[in-house]
Amino acid sequence: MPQILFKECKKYKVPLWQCPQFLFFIIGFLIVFGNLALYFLGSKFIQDPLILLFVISLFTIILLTINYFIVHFLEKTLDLSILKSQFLNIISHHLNSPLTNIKWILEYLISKDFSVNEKEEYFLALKDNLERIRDMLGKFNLASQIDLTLKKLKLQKVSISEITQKNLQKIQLPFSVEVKTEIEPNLPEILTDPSFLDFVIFTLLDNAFRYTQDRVEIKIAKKRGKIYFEVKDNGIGIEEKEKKYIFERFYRGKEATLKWPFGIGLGLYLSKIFIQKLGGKIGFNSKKDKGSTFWFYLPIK
Amino acid sequence: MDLTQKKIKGRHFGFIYQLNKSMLKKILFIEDERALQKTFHAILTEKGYELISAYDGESGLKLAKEEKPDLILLDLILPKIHGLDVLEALKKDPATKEIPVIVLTNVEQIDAVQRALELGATTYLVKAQYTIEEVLEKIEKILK
Repeated sequence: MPQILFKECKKYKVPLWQCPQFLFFIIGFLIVFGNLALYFLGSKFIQDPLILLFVISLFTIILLTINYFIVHFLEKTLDLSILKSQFLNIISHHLNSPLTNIKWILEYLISKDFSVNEKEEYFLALKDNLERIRDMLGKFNLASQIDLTLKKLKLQKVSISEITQKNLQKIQLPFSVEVKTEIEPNLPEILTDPSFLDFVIFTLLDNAFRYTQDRVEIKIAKKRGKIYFEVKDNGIGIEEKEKKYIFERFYRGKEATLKWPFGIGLGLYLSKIFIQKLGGKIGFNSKKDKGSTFWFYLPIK
Repeated sequence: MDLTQKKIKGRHFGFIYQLNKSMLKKILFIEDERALQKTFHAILTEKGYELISAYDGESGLKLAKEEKPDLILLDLILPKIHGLDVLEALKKDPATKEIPVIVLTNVEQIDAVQRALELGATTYLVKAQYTIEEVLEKIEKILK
């Protein structure tokens, strides 16, 4: 028991007396002592045992409720503080990396004369790094104004296979990956927000290609009156204990961070919000070291 | 040591190049950022060093054992194996433990700095705080 308590408290990085779980424990003890005291004191003044029982029960319920709110509030505050420091870490590392690259490449470009061809390669590297920053800030912007973004929902008829093909072309493969696409012919157009759908499809494809071993399979079909999209990879997969956090803001799996250190943990979080807003459902199946399949359903109209 | 000039002037470039290459001090750069690999490759080659590139922790460890470089430049956030684990493995292996390692990263957390120095890193440089010239000075100082 104490080990579990200490483990829980350790994640908040605060002194023990500020740890919600520890406080819950302590206040629990106080309530027991309070009840005993109330019993001895009450039995002197209240003769009817039923009334005494009622008073003690009422006293316990009130204290437990107060205890719950205090601990819950403290837990929320500490969770927010962890989220804040994760956010700052991500910002500082993810901005620092491309900015240092840009700085060092520019220092080198200034230091001597280069031919146009030589310069071009370095300029492309500069562009890549700038795009990384822009992409990251774009996602932060979307996440910070998510309510506003969701209000801008604009429905129109779109072809999901066209959006998928377009995004497949956008993805730059870092190594050779076998791609298999299985798109049902004559799929109906769906009434949806193209920018949201585009974001979700790009995120799922980008992740699959990023974390796969050597194969990615895409399937789009009509199922039970809805459009079904699925992308499957044979990559690192997701650990059992990490599965519940996958759609959480800023969360990144340990293996995923090792394989691709530059993710910011917003793609899947935003994808889930968008798919839900569009009336659909998103999920995944995954096995560590075997791969993952991410899927979503969207209504046609 | 200007290899380009020798290539233009000398007919026996292949021989001269091989001779020089075996004399050059070898630096292994374990860094997944291709643009930085390219920039460092150009600068260090000009300065007369031989640069070997590894783009992830796993191949970095493999190359360190195979090539026995004179110095290793090591980023921490790396694909496949984290830089601190690479450093630990390097310092545990008798074949590589004597090779000086400069940690060159954007990770500024004090835990990471302490851990790297405890594991035996020669120095810890936060990329954003240095110019390329300053990094080169550190490299040259260690290799002298």
